[in-house]
Amino acid sequence: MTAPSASASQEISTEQVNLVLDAALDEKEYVDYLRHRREESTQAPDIAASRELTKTSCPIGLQVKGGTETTNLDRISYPHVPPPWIERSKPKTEYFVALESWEGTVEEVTPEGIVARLVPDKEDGEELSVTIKREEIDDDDAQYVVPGAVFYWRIGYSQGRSGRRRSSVIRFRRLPRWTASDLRHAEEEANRLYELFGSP
Amino acid sequence: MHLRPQIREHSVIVVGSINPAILQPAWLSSKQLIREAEAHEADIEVIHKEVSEFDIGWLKLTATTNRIQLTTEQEPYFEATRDLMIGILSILEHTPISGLGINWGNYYSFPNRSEFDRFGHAIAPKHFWSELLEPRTSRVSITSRRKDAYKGSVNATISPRDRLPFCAHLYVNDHFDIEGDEGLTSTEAVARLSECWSASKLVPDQVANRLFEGMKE
Repeated sequence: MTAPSASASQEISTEQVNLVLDAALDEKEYVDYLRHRREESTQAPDIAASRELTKTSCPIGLQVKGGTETTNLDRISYPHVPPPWIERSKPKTEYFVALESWEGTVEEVTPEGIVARLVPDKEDGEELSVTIKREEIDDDDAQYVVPGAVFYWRIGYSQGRSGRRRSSVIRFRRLPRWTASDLRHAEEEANRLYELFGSP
Repeated sequence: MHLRPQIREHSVIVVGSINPAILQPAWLSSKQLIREAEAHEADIEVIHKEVSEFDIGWLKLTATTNRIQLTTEQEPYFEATRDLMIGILSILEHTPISGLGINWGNYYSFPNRSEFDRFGHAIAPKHFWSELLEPRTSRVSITSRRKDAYKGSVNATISPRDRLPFCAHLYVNDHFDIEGDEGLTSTEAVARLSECWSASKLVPDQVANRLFEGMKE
């Protein structure tokens, strides 16, 4: 994208604003959005700075101070125009508090579910072998339910405005599938090692 | 005093030469890095060749031409956040990476005003500031060396927030200095992230526990 110069018109050309999805903002909203983000740009590449802090309560001891959202649109140079007010994403009102956490490995798949070995997150926890019913597993994860698959299991509660509710989340690990190129490289590496060390 | 964080957040950031337009929910789903339903229900803020930003419920992705940031506030998805970055970098295998950060945020809610203030005074004793009128703690930042062999720093910041009653936010930025003009290959970045993530995850709790212990002293 060619950055418009400061002396250029405040209008941004269609080529410069090439929205990809219909669901995205229209052109004017997008330009406003970029201006807004640029206005907020700071040098700190961290999430602490990406949270809005607006209140200055806490009169004693600790004091809340202002912060800004972080982005890096330095390559885009727009004439200075006061940004319109745009609603920032608000912190989620519901959050999950984990009481127990495990990393699981599927050992066996049965018609009823899976038999898995669980390694706790806690250093002093003990490994467990458990049977998990199939209903506990999201349909979208069904293809990952094979021996050797890794999943993460959290049991805790969700805290929301309406109170707490018990919650259990199982998420299977998703990594890119092996491509033909990956397999070819692996085979080449195996051949190289075989040449180097020979057969056992 | 022992406090358990009420809310935890996590983000992984890579800096490099990025094509944000490709980082769309549909693309992530097509690569099976996220669920199809998550892609369909994604809340898209903007997707453009210069910036991409959307939320899939448990994760917010922000990408510009020089960085990708994945952020979650849902503890059950911390590993999934790491895996998603690993998945993206594995697919974009020719992307040079010039920076990597693993970040953690914990929100603690103190039982009352008195304990909250006591904590603020403990981490920044006010008798050193007695020349100032009613000195208060607004933000304390500490930077430290890495415990592993990599170059970089571990930076901790504690500051008050209004998200919970009597709330303090501990933020830990586990930062890697990537040396050299060429940076890391994405494969090397994946290896670095995989190797260091679990140890990094422990840091905020270790720091917090020591701070809370310090209130007794």
